Amino acid sequence: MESLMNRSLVASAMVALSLGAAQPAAAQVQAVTPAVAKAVVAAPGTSLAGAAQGDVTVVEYLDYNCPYCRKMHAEIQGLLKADPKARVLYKQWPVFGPVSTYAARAVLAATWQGKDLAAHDALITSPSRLDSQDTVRRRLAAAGVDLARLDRDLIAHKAEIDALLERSQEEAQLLGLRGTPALVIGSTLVPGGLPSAMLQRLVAQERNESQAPSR
Amino acid sequence: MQRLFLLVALFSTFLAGPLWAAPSLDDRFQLRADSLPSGDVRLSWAIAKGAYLYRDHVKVAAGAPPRALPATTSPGEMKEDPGFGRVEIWRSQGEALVKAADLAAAGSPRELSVTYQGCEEDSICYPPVTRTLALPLTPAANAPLTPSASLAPAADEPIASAQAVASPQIRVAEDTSVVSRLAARGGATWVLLAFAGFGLLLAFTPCVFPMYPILAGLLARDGDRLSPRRGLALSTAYVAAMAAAFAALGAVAAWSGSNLQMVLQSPWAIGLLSAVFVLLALSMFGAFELQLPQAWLNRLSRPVGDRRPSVGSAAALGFTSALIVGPCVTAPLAGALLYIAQTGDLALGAGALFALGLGKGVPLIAMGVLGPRALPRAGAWMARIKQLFGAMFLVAALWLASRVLPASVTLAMAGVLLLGLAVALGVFERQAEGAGVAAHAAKAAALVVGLWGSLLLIGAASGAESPLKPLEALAASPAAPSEASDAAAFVTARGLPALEREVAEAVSAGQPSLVYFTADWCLSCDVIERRVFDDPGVRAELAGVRLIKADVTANDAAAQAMLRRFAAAGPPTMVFLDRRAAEAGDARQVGELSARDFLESLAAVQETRS
Repeated sequence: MESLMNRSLVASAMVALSLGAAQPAAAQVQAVTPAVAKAVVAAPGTSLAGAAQGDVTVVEYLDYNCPYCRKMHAEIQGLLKADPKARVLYKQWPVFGPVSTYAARAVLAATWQGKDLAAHDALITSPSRLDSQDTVRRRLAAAGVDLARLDRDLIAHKAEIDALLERSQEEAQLLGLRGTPALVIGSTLVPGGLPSAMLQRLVAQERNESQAPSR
Repeated sequence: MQRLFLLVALFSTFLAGPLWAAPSLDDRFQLRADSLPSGDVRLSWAIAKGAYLYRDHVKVAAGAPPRALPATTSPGEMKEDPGFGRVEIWRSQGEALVKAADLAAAGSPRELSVTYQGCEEDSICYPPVTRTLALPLTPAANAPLTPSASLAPAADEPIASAQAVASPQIRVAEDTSVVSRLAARGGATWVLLAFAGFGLLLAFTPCVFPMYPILAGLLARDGDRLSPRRGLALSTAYVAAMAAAFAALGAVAAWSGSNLQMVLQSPWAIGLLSAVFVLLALSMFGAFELQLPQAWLNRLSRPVGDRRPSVGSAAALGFTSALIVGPCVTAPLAGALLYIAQTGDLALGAGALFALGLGKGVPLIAMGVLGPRALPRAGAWMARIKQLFGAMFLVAALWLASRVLPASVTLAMAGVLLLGLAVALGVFERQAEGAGVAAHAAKAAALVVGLWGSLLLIGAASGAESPLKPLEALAASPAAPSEASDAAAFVTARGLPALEREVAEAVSAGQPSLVYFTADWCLSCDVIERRVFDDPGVRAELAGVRLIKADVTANDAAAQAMLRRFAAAGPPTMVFLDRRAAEAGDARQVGELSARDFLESLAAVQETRS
């Protein structure tokens, strides 16, 4: 518990570091309590990318039309390639308007045909802005998503999809996220992107600390 | 602990954007709303460094349910993202204009909701921010906004907006003062040396020319008694005082933020100095003796150390003449003023100006030392020399007065002066028998001077204004229209709104623009107008460039606002804006310049059109 708190302090930035003032900084990072960190990873609702039996989970909040989320895709792939025990949970938090929202819903709806990760990859690697629903659908179709099935699932599972998006939004607010992308690695929150190498080190550290006996 | 270091390294290197303790979005994107006299509502964003807004994500809506209102947004810059394509973004600032007519068509809503969205460069993208403004805005100032930023989901209906141009987004190039750059390179000594060097380079510009006859007259008053040593003492005192005046003037101006040059260019200050010059001239002509009291003359024959009164008067003359003639606005002067304003380091800024003045004075000191040797010793010649300096004083007086006198009056007075000079040169005197070539040449010169003086009088009588073209008004009138159309077509702005409007028009026409700060009392501006804007090569290149004169003659609040907006020290300053109203780096011209310098700066904004 104490070590978790300390790590969160660090993540809350250098202000606390230079002051050594634990109390006010702790107040700042209340959002990332271990309970929240755990809740964020628990019951994902979507498939996990990477090792199914992985030990460290990286959570990424993203929007399919956010340029830096697009850039993060390669960094995430780098992590998964380098670290066979890491896994990634994508949380759709659309901030770029209706098309982004549609893209997020479509990826979630693809879960029911087992294509959510394929759908995610297809949209996050789009070479241009997703400027309309048609653009989104074209990319999904090219990735092997059954559009007729998708449309049915979008209607049939509307409530579940709504709930997932709402939940991501709530988590984002709870975590105090200011925008996309944002990463949660254990109880460390990284607002913004991160190069693959840094990501790997954070995952390794998280693994070491979670394996150490809890104090 | 290791993790701590990792994170510190991580945050400090990779993440330039906001962190946990990041500033609020209001600090990243500061929205201001103004009500314009036309009833239009102008929204402007001040965007923090590193952040940007998407131009086409700006949406304005009113009513319940919200209905989109058309808004014209200022052009942004194209951002090329390899994985994302081209998007138009605003950095540092952006503007949107909601027309009064559109507000009226929407039923004059009581509230306006403004939605905008942006990112941090290489970091994160923010959800859209929606703000609500209560209408009508108080027209006086920037209405405070109701702080209701929310992470609102974007409006469901896409809102059409953004096609044309509203107010320009003038981006003034960031310029670290030349003083700071020099100081960074080699410390204060380097700054002072460099400014002395700049001064030397500026010693032969019209701003310094009046100093030569003033000092020459001062030296000539001593006549035969002038020794190189005494010349050195007098001229050094004169120059040191002049430099001190520059430093004081610059320091006070930069410190108080006002333009003292303007005050000193007032008609009465000019009239006073003019009168002083006339008096000096008359004494040269022997109308009365400006002799120092006998007691002083006695002292003057003593060693140098005791010649304080005369050295003191040289210093006084140097100080006052520097104040009145004024330090023309040149690049080093502007740099020093900027430095003082930016850093508050009065000492180094004023020191730089002092060094600048000393540099300008080097030729004057040389004149003081070499002058006595060059001056002929014989008595008869001395009288002529004195008359010549008398004439020079009159020229200086007239030249000063011309700033406040109508051009035709100046012309007439110049005519009288030249006729007088011709007489003094002996135009009506009998040519001595067996006179040499020199005497003939002198006579011819006297005749030419007299003739030109007559022409000036005729020209003045016929309404001409230029001393070089006195018969212009008498010349065939068909020439006149072509002359007028040849002149570079400047529009004149006398306030920031007019200036911004002109720049906006240039932007909407896809033209680069030149903002030329000038004033009637700016000496160098006349030179620029002749040397640069009358140059055929320059004129050819000016086609397609919006030419805007920012007239700061009045030096009132409106003029100051224009200067501040462009971070200009004073006239003459030329700001070159490309077709997106961004100033080209290093293109700015301050002070006098050649046609070639001008064309180089102009090329900088023409090349950037893409």
